Amino acid sequence: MKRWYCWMLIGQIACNGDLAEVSPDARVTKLLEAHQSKLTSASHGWLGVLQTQSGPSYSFCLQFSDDGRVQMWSDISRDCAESPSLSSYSVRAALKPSLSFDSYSHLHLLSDPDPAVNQGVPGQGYSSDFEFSFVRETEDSVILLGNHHNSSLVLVKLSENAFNLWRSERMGNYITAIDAHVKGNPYLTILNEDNSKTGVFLDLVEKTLHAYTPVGNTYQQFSTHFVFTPEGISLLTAFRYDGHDIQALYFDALNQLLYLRTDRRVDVKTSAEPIVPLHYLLGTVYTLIDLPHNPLELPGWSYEFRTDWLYMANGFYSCCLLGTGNTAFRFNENQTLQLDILVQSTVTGTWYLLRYPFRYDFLPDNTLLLTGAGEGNPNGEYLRYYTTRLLEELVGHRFHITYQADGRQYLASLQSVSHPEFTFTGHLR
Amino acid sequence: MRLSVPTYLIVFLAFSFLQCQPEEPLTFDYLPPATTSTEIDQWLLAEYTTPYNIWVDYKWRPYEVDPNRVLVPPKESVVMPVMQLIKDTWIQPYAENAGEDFIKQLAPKHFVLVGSAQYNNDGTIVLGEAESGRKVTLFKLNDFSLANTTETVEMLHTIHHEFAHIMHQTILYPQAYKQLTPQGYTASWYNTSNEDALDLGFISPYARASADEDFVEMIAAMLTMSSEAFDDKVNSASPAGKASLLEKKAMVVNYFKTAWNIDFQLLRASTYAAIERATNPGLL
Repeated sequence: MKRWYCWMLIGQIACNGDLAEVSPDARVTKLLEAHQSKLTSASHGWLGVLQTQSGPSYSFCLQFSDDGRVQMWSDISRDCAESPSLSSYSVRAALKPSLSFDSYSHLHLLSDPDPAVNQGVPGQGYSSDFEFSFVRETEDSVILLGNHHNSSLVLVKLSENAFNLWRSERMGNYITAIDAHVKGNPYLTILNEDNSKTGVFLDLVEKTLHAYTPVGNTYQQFSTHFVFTPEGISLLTAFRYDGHDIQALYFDALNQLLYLRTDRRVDVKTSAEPIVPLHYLLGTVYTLIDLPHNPLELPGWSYEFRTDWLYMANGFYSCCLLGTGNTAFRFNENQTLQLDILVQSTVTGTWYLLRYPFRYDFLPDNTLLLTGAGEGNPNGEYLRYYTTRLLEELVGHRFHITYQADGRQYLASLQSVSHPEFTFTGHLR
Repeated sequence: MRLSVPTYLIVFLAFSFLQCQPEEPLTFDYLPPATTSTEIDQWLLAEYTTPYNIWVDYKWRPYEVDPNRVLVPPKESVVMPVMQLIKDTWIQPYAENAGEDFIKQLAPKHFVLVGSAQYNNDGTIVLGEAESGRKVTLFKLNDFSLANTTETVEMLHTIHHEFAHIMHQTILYPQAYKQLTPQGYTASWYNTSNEDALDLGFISPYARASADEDFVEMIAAMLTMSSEAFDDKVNSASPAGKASLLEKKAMVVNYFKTAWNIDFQLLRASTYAAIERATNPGLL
């Protein structure tokens, strides 16, 4: 009996006019037309936030027209914020219905494999996309996913007022002003209800905000990517403050400061000195302690450290190398650290990199412990004879790590716990 | 398996229903939807597609390029200047010296324009490539500026290089050419300096990649350099290298005459004059 029903069902389906009359081509065409009309339906354009795979996130203002043209502004640079690009787009059937930005626009700067264009990785750019599949749509938003690198592009309809702000030169001015504000005031704070202060750090290259809020005897870290908007900075993840989810920092151009909004305005204050202990910030806010070539350039280098340093530099010089260029301690978030020493040949002028890997840990007493120095790179091993003395003072020893004032700037100061005469300082980057 | 009579009946009825729908024409309209033709589209149609049956893709078509490389489309602002230059310095000289039919028959039917260079894993970049005489892909066009003579000539070198591939794929050059410097061909040609290439009898490091590349590099260099500059370059090679280069030059000239009935010296003069005019707009 079951078999009978199956055959009858096939017969029914075969005679169903609705299905048989609509070919796959027609259905795909209908779907593409629906997507295209959705894009052109936003009379005041779309706010787009693009998350690249190997770089920061970027904001766009996009206005699609019926004739296959798209005008866009972006926070990629001041130029992109002020001068819109006009290019072509198409909605087409690839493996999935896709939106393709098919002639060069601001968006392509992030995919450009030429590092001279936008400082991307040679041959890769920022692993970003300019062809996207439609993933989901709501009344006011469209979510797209990159066809090659899976970068996400979220479009949200803009209001007339917001669109006009994008078209003004305001965002370009804000990008420049916020950049100058943050560079001139690296220690930003927000006053909490209990009168404690949250330290705020804005990394304008990675477009990341780090906030450190005191909780008991420690600090709670919060980090999120952000993009620029014509009003200031939009956080991709909300920051919890005073019982409110903070999604944006606004810029007060008149007073040249950032502020946030709860049920009131809260200014992000500037501080002349750092408030968050340095050991919380290494590996996130600061990834580099940079020692200059000239040992007399910085205060806080002890006689013992300077002696080991000069021993190394003289050793290099005896090998026809001009001694050290910059030396850098590179802190990564995964508790690994690289000591990089640049040396230059006095014969050819060529620079060589000596690299030694470590693991670093902050112990309960907040001292820094460097361990497990593995094999250096070939240059490092080749010249290890001259670096051993310095490395032996570093590996297996604990260090107090604090700020040291140097005029208006603050340096990182490291002092050996077991050998307190061994101290040195470096620039924080 | 045995089917009962009623089962046959149902199967018959089902297929009858399937076949009862009226026949409809096949449509493929879900391929790129029609967009308004831009000034660039109209210009390309008038200058390339209508007279020479050459289609130029400047909008991104992912299936026209290597999907494993990161590439970007060209800026719209460079499309017309680049294609005008190519017309002036490649199509016109060949049309003048070999006839309109020659260029119409041999010209690749499809140009794909790409904004960035194509980066290889070995650190080298690709500036252009030809595919079976049908398609030529030009890369790195976003850097195009007539004011940058070196890069402009480099791009024209690429065009002439790729077109020469089509010529020798249509009529092969003499086998004797491959025997002139057989020891010099290498896959790691990119480790060769310009000077070393010349001393080995190659006009450029890339000419060492294979005999085919060697042959078309010679043609492209001879067409895009002034004869004085070309001779100076050859004269800077070692005696053995210079001898090989002069033999190659003679074989190229002879190939154009015997295979295509083209006077190479006249073609060269027309091409180089066009390049000079394009890169020095003050010249008449």
